[in-house]
Amino acid sequence: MLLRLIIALAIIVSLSGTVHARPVSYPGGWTFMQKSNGSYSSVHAHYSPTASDSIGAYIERNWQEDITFTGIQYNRLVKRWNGRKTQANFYAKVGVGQAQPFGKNGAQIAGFTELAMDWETRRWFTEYRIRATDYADNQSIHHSGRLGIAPYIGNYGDLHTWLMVQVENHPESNKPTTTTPLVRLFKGVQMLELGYTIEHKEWLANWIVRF
Amino acid sequence: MKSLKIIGSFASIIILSQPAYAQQNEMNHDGHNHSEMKHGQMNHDDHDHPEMDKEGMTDVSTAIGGPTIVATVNGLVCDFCAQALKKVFKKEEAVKALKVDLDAGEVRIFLKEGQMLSDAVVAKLIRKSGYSLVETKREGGA
Repeated sequence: MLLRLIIALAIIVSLSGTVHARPVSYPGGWTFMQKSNGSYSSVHAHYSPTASDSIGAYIERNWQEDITFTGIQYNRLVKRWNGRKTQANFYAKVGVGQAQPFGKNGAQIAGFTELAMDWETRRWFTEYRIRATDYADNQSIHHSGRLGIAPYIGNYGDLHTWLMVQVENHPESNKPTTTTPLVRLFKGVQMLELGYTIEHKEWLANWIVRF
Repeated sequence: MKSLKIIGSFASIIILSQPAYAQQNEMNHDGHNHSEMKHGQMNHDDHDHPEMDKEGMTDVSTAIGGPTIVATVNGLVCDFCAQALKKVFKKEEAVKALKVDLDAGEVRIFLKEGQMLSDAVVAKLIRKSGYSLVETKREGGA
């Protein structure tokens, strides 16, 4: 069943066209991001009035903390370094809204903030993030890093493939450090990531589209 | 719960990908300026030719030979960079078509006959897209 779903997804992505995981789009651009892994599932839709800002809605069902967060999120490209064959970015993100425990009434004001840095060429990709959340009395800080390599360099319009490893650290978790090998496929305005977190035996599936 | 999470995730991806696919097809077939297409150019081969414009501008192949600005740009590392440039430049009245060469880090800006685009405007539009201009060269009387 799962294999069929993965194959169906791969077909859809190859037929449709793609993006990068950047939280800010071009001026006037809309982005839809869906993420799901062993810790949480989230949906984020945002609009970029400039190439440095985006604002939108963010909803997260957090399986570890048993809450649903609903709020607005603002993303800021603080600094971009454009090199001849490289690009590096520094982003800041902040979200405010409410967190509601599963199956209970009594939503509370909640929020999060995140800093993210990446550096990439057409062959290599690196990223580091630190995220602090305050969800209904549950405060946490976690870090994640990624290293990726493109096994081939595609031309504009081709299907691009990245092989990546993501390492995350949740200090309060019983398994604080996790490793997720994943494959990133992107073409045109869409990007799909599929991975598997070894320690938790959980799948990761992220999808982003810009328009 | 695990299965539910995974299936829910995939289902949402599949459901939400449908309108995106429809939109992409619409852009591929309707985004071109048919009046400026040569006979036989508008066919299903456009899926296989990155030169064919998908952002609502004129087909690049019909613009070659006209006034052109070749801009060397820093930061071009992926398709999304190209798309950002196309989205920004297509709003410019003087621009007929755009071709991005990621390997060379170059953007070829094809101008409409009799139209001008100063280096300052080119630099501004590239900066607005999120990238930085290194230099420009002009061809065909641009």
